[in-house]
Amino acid sequence: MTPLVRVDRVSRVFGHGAREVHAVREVSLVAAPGEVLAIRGRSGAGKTTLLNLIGGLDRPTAGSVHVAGHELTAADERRLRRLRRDTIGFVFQSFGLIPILSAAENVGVPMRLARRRARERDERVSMLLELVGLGAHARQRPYELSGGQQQRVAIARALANEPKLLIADEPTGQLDSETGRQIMDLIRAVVLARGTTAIVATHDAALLDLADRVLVLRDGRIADPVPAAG
Amino acid sequence: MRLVLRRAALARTLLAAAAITATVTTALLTAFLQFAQLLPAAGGRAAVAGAPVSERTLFVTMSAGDNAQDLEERDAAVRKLFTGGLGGVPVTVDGGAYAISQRLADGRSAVVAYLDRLADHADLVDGAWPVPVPRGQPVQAAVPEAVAAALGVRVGGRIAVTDDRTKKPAPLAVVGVYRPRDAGGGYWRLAAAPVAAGGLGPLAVDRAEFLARYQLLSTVNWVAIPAADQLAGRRLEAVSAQATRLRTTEAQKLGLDTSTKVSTGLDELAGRLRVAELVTRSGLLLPALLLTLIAGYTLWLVAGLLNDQRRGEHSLLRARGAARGQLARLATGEALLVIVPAGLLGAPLAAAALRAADRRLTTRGLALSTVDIPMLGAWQGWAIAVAAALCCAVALVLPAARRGRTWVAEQQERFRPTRWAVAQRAGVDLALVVLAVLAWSQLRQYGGPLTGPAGALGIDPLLVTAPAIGVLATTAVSLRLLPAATRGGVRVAERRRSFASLLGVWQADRRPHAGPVLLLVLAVAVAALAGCVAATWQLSQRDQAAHEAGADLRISRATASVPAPAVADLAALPGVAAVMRADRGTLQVSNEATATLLAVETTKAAQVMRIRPDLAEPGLFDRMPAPRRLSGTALPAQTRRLTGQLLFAVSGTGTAQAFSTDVAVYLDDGSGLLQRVSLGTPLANRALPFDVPVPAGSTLVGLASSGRLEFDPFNEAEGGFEGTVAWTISRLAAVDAQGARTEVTAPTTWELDTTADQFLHLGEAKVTGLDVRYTVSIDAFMTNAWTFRLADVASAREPVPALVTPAVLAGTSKKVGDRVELGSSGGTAPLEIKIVGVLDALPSAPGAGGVVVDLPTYAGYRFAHEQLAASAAEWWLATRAGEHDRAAAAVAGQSGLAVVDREALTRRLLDDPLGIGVLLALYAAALAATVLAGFGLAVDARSTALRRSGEMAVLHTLGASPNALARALVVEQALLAGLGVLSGLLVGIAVAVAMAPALVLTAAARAPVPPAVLVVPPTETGLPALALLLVALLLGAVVARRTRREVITGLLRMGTEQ
Repeated sequence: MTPLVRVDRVSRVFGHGAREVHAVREVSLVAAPGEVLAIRGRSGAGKTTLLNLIGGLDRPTAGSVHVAGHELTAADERRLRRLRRDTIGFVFQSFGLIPILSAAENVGVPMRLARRRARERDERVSMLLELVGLGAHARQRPYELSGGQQQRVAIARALANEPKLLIADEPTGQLDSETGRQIMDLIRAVVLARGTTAIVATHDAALLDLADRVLVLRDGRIADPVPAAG
Repeated sequence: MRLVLRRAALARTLLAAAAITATVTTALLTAFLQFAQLLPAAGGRAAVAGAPVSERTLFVTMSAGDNAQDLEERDAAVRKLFTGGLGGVPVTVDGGAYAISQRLADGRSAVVAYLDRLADHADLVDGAWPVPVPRGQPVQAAVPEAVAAALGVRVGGRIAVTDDRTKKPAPLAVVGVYRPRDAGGGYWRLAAAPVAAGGLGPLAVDRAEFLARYQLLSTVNWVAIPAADQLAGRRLEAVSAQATRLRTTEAQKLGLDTSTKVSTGLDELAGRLRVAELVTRSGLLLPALLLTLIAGYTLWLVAGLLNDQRRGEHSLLRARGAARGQLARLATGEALLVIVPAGLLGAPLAAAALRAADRRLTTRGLALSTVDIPMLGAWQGWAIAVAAALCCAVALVLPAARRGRTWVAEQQERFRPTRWAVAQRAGVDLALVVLAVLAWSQLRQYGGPLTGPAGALGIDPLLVTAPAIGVLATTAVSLRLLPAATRGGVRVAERRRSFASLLGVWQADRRPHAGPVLLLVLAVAVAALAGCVAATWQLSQRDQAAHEAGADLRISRATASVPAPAVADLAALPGVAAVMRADRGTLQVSNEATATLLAVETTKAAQVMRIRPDLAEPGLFDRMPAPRRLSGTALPAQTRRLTGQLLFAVSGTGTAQAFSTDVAVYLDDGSGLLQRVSLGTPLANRALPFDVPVPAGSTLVGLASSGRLEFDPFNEAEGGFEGTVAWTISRLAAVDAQGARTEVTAPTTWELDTTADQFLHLGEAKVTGLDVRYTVSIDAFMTNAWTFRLADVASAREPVPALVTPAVLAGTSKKVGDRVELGSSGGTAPLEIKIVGVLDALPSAPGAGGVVVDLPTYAGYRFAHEQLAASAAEWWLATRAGEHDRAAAAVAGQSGLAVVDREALTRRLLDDPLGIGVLLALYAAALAATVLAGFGLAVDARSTALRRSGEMAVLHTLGASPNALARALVVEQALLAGLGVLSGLLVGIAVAVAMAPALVLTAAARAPVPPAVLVVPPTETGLPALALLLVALLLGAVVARRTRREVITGLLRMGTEQ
């Protein structure tokens, strides 16, 4: 099967000379469609940098990144933006919701950017909010929701344009363990239901069993891959 | 402190903007409040300097006594009164005396005088000051330069003077010629009275000579002149009080001679200035309040924005255990960075602004301060600047020092206010609206911000703050309506597919605070209101000048001896478009009220009389019936003279002797005005030829005379008188310039009117042409008289059609169409009018009561009822456009005429220094509001940029282009700015409509006549609004550009979102 994501010997160096920081060193990986790939490592291991490179939010110093057949490293900003809008969904650690918009409006933002028709958008927003269990909270603003609820809204937003790839960086980092588990269950359910590939960075070992495969990042390099439980 | 500095470094741009805003705000507020303090006092000083001499001095006059000792004692007694000054103000006292018994060869009075310290008040142009001379020699005198020229004398010459007491010559030897240094100064009051009465002088002689030769029957005067630079404010009140006491106390109680008279106008001056100062202060309070409102809100907004930036940090620190005191110290440290520049620079910057204002006002004759304004500012300025800076500091520190709430609770309150907060705000809004309506109704009731009886006027706090409350209330109401407008924008944007527009409108609709919008609304409203009040004031001055003048130029004779100008001569002057004659009188409307009677040529009134369109319906004068003219015999057009013979024929028995008064004919001069021409006073039974000049184009409309029978009181013979008395005019002819004669006969419509004393029996009178014959009998021993008139006055007796003011209608309880008889002043008979129309105010007339009648009709009425020939006392001129100055100069060149010039009046009112000062304050408030709002918007823009960076990064990550995000910011700013500016304009104009006219007062604290009319000047109201709109859009564009750059250069990377 053609991998959805292919990362070839990607490196990312910050700074110059004596202050150089090798955040990612010659990392190669693939992720298949419908796979939940967890990237694990301690703080400073390079997880976030790697996710940024995969998501087109950053450019590697060396190597290449392919997502859904598109080479991100060679793409211009416009193409990257389109990819981020249509192909890749992002879930941030701090949720990243727009505070003045309601849950429904937040979920609808990517679809508005994609210029979807209003009826279609409204139907999809309702469906997604129901999917994440927040159908009754559509009108509430982020600060009226709990952390878990906000993250659910973020997930719904990430799924708005039916992305092929879902990138989540420490999606449970600001949540308690039970809520975090629920979030991971949700991500897993979405992957299974839609065939979306999910790459999740986490340092929470308790959540690793929900991944199909776990990669360990240490000092910017892939350490021995650890097979996922189950 | 290190933490404070590191935090400050991270938010340096915002803090710098806040510091600059705080400094500018403090400086403007300081300058303005000091200006409001200095201007009334400056105006008082200017008014004192410009006041007539009689108003700013105290004058004591008494007889000079019989000898030198008398004079010395009187002089000492007067000077003793001013030993301690007057009311604490130093006073210079000068004395002088003049003789009233010296006469020049041509009969005019020679004002021989001695004047104390003359050399200090006049410059010797030629010769020397006089000294005593031996008896037998002419007294030496120094004469004024103008008098020397008038008499044709020089140094070494003599002036022939006769002493009226002795009838002997008392010549003066001219030894010097002098020129007064300050001809209008108070010193010259010492000899002003006799000079004003037509005497020549003062011819200054040595004091000892005066005492030796002129003291008897002369008058000695003293003039006390308070130091002008100290005559202001409370000192003037004290001076005025003491001067009034001196004036009203009996001379003997003051130790003065019983002939003493003390006169002063200081009390009037003080009263006038007191009122003018109140008017000025009330006028300054409005811009001061508005500016304080804007300045206060700007500081509050800046503090709020800074606190917003720190809100998250403070919540975090609280959550980490920071105490309130610790947070307060952090906030204080940061506040110091903002307020220290404001506190240090506010006063010096304010001083610079005051000096600029002083330079501007000095060109108009007003010095803002008696001393140079210090470079670093006066202590008052420092006090205000420090106070303003401290208020800003409190606003910055207070939120950090208050008890903290949870982050969620704070955010909920920001983004979704609780019902209580909403209700609380609604309560405040409602209270403001109620207060504004109350203030507005009170302002309408009292007609201005000053209330109280005359002499005890005061500034009413509610009335003077009414406009500011109105601005606050209407702003609060408009902000309530703004969300509806933005929601409407959301609905429109949602229908479109542009995410940028929708995001921008969302942001506008759901911003957590309305600070910048409120600032924009306030600033534009303040600028609009200030502009409207200023323009309304200026127009009111023009209207008042036009109303007071009544016409472009209004002429009257300076004295009764000046001949009346000919209409044709006036009409021929350059620049004159039309001439209308007028007469003026006073009518009694009720027991308490009078009205000005104005008789004008109504056929020309529409062209000449300046009456504001709203005060009279268009075509009001057309409602006046055509002028009523007396009928008579028209003389040939070229007639220059009337000739003929008078005979007063008496025949009968009795001891009385019959006499006639002068026989007069009445002529209509061709325009409906009557002229009485005396033909002569005939003696009994002696023909009297006459040859009298008459105006060309006249009509003979009447003949009148009177007769009397006089008895010798020492002849007690019985019988009285019985016989006939007749007046006959024969061979009456009109003669032209070439001597051609045309016989003139009496009209057949003439009727005889006779009035006679009660004991006189007049039998049937017989009229044949110009022959009037009475059969008379009387048996009393008193002089009896009768008057007759031949004329056709039947229609002239009818009530005179009149236009009246509402005050007359109210005073007489009449309405249009009614007739009413009004008592007349000056001993003339009542005037019966028929009311045909109403005009709201009568130009050129003081007071609310006014009656306008047609002059020819009025003249006919007066002739019919009183045999008076009413004539014109005023000539109203309309000037051609662009030629007013030419016309005014031409009129000024005519001697003997007093002129009221509308343009000159307008300039005087508009150039009033206090009025200009208040205008300056209004425009300064408008400018300051615009500048402060600009700074406030800049701070907000920077704060917005910082606040939105996170959101923008998220949206960019989700696929929004930098251009779209920039456009969203621009849309947001444009919508808020547009709504804010529009709301501000509506608020400012609404408050101006409701209140601006009531704020315009005359210097006497009265509502102006005509009432002020609102002006909304497009430039003054629109320019600040446009400027702020452009600033807001520009700032929005700058923020958008910066955000776009930040978004492009730094995507929201995983792990960096906060």
